[in-house]
Amino acid sequence: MPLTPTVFEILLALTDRERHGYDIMRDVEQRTGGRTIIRPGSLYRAIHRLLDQGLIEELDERPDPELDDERRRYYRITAAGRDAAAAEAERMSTAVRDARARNLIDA
Amino acid sequence: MRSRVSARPAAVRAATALCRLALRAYPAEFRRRQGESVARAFADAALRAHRRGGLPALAARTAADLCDLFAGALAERWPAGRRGRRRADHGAGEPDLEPRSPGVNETMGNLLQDFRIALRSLRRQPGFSVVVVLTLAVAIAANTVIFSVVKRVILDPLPYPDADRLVWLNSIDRDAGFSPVSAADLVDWREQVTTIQSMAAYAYWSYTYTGGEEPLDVPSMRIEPSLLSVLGATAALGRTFVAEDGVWGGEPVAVASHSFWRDELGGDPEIIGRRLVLDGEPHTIVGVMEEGFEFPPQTDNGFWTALAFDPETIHERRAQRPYQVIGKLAAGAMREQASAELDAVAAGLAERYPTTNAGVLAQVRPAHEALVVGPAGTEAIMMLFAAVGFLLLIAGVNVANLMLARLTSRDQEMSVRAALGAGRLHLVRQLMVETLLLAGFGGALGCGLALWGIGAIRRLPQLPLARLQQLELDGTVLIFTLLLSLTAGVVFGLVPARRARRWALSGGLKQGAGTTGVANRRTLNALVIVEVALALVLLIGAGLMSRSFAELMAVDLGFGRDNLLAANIYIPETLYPEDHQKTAFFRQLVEQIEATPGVVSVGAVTALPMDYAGIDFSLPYEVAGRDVPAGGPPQASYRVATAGYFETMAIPLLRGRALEPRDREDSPRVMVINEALAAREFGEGNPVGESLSIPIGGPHEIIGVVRDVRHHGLGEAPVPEMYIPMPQNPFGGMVVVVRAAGDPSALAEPIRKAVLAVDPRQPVYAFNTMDELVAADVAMPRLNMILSGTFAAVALLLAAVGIYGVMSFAVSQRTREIGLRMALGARASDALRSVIGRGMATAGTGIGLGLAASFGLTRLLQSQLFGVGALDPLVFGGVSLLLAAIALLASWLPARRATRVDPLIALRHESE
Repeated sequence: MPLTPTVFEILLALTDRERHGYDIMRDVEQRTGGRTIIRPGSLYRAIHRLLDQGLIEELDERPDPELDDERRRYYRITAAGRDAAAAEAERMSTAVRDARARNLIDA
Repeated sequence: MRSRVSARPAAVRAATALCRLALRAYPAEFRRRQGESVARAFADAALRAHRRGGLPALAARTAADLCDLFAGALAERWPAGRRGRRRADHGAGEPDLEPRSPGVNETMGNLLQDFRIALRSLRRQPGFSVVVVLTLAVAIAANTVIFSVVKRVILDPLPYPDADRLVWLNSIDRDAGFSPVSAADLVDWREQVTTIQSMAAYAYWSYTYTGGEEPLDVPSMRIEPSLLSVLGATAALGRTFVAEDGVWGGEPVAVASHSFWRDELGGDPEIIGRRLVLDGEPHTIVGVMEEGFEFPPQTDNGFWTALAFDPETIHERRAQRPYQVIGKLAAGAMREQASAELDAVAAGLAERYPTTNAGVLAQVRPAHEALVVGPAGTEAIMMLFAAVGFLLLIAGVNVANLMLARLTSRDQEMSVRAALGAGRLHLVRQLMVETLLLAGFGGALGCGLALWGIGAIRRLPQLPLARLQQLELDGTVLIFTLLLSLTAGVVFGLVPARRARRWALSGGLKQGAGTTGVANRRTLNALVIVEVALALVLLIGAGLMSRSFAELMAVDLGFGRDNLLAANIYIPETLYPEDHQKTAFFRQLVEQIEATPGVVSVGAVTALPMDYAGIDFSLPYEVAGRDVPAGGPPQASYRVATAGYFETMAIPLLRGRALEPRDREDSPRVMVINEALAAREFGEGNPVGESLSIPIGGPHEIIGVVRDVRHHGLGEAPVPEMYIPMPQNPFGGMVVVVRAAGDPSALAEPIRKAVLAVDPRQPVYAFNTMDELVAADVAMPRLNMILSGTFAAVALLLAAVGIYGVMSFAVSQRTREIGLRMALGARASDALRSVIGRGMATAGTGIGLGLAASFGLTRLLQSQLFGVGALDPLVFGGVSLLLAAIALLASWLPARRATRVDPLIALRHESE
């Protein structure tokens, strides 16, 4: 079952560390050089579902309470989320390999 | 981190407010769990866009994020599962993330496609599109213009730090009402009031500056030294005032404004310490204020000089109240507390100094209200804001009407699309996109119209408020307009979207063309009723305003206003220290002007009616041979005038004689009083020969009675006045008033020459024709009338279009029925009557509702009205008839068309 690009990007953003919503938006934007922009509405609709699915979870504690604002909520990826993202990456890499084999894109 | 939140620019905060509004479209559960976070991320993104690319980047980002939010809201409300696409059970751990729910790029792609389809669909019906866009544009423009007024006049704070703590203090006189403050009272207030941490007096002044090529009259201010620090103002060069500057008998010092320093003093960087001659007296320049510093706001003062009170005479002059006072509330103090405290202090002063302070209260007002717009102005502006709100509703009703009518005719198309598999969500989204597109065009066109409207207001010859000259379409106003357009698009788009349910059930397929659902017709009728009611309320409001303005203009001023020119002249005390010098100056000036061709007569007075620049104050008086009343002596306005004043102003003499040249400095003290004072003290009796005693000059014999004049404005009742002959107490500041044979403004130049002939050092402060002064006095009611009249006219037009549209539609839907009836022998007149009857029943219901609403609402207008009741039957009746006539016309036109239809064609209409 393929993940939507939004969901995949969110999970990918959370693989290296915990982030809050806006941080996720910026990470995706920077990582993709602005080709993918996740907007607040889409972001939190996806987060809403990812939480329900248990693919991510909300942190109880702030990473650095000194620096931060209590209104921000931080998210971390769960083991299931990591598996799902990895499976998706695997699927995509297979797809890329096949596309190269058929000379659809340059090797 | 948290401090950054409060430092967000207004535009970003406004964008975030839009986001919160959009969030309301989401299901409550989502909003509760994620709403705050969405708003937070939205604000962060908006802030970054704003930092990177200013308003354009912010607007682009906000627009895109809002589209995404709305698309998401639709998807949340109509999830894929309910569209029958829920997948079968899936294994644990296998993510079901609604693969069919659109991802980011997919959403944007679909939206773009929707926009293209919408554009095509709207182009197919150019008439419909143009009417909707124009309707929305007019309403959005009206709202934008008035919002820009609200923002500039009411919302924008005073340009000083801690502006919300600034208060304005004044006395309240039992007889005269509002009154400025005496120096002695101020000193006592300052000592005894703790909730106001600082108070400073100021007075308008006009200096004659003789350092330039020709004498210059410089509007200025005399201020207590602490005033500039109360305002938090700093100097660009040198310093502001220090406490020592305000010691009586000290060296005269002045601070120049930045613009005067730049324009008149050549921007001299070495100016500090130089001495400039103001009113013939050298003043040391100690500082130049920062560029753009103005006090009061929207004034152009050249100098601020230090005001000091003479400790010897301060108590003797307690009855003289010439000063304005500004104060700053102590940290944490509320205005109500300060008010209570000041009341108590004023009551104490009244007890201690009954002759000067009996019945004198004090008042604390927000400085913004006192310096920018009074309560009456605020009320007038909020009324206009409400009026444009009504206008927007009317426009919205029209648009919803048009959409409904259009959708009804698209029932089949939509049903076919639904049957072919288009989801209900998709159809609704398509409709939403169409309305959003229309609202977007309407908003853009509205902005253009608003720019024009704002320019038109700014170009009005007489503006009631200085801040109106600075109206602009700034970021906040633009965001308001964007919000308005989006809301209009969503709300008026959603009304017809309810129909989508029918298409999904394929109801439209079964329904034959040429008929329309009863429910639908009811909705249309209800909309027209609402529209007519709203239009009637607006029309009645505008009608009352117009009648009130007409009443105001018909007021008898008490003097002849035609062909009068007023010149404000002020001769400085330093150059004319002696009374006889002042008398001689004005006597010579009057003679010079009288000799000018085209001049009928000349007079001079300390305070001219309608002219706020005069020296206008009241004095307590005692009637000879009577005891002082228990509450202390009553007061009357004190004016000094020349012998030719009453004749020039054409103020009729009712009893005795007027002021004459024989009333000299050394002759017995006399005064002329007005009707109001005569009636108050002597009733029907003859006051001539009686005597009034006043603090300046002692007892004065009353020699005559003149008619009352409207001194403080057309709408203000006359006040008791006394007129003293000029030689007996000459003032340096007088208004010279000239009656011309022809156009009075042509006399300005000869008068200026006459002044220079008497004293080449002497400038003229201002020239105004009486017509200009009167126009300035009624500027607010006039602006009110113009704007409310314009809005009402637009409302009437929109209502007419609405009724016409709905009647046309209803008739077109009934063509078959009418044709059938006529084929069966009904007469054309019967059909006509039936159609018109239905239209008039709808309009009549609307008028009834509108009248009921007006009965309740117009009383809110009462304080804005003059000489006309809030329930004026002429206005209520006339306007209802007008609206009924328009409704009749709007239903007759389509009805006539229907009855001309050939029955055969009408019947064939069915089979098509």
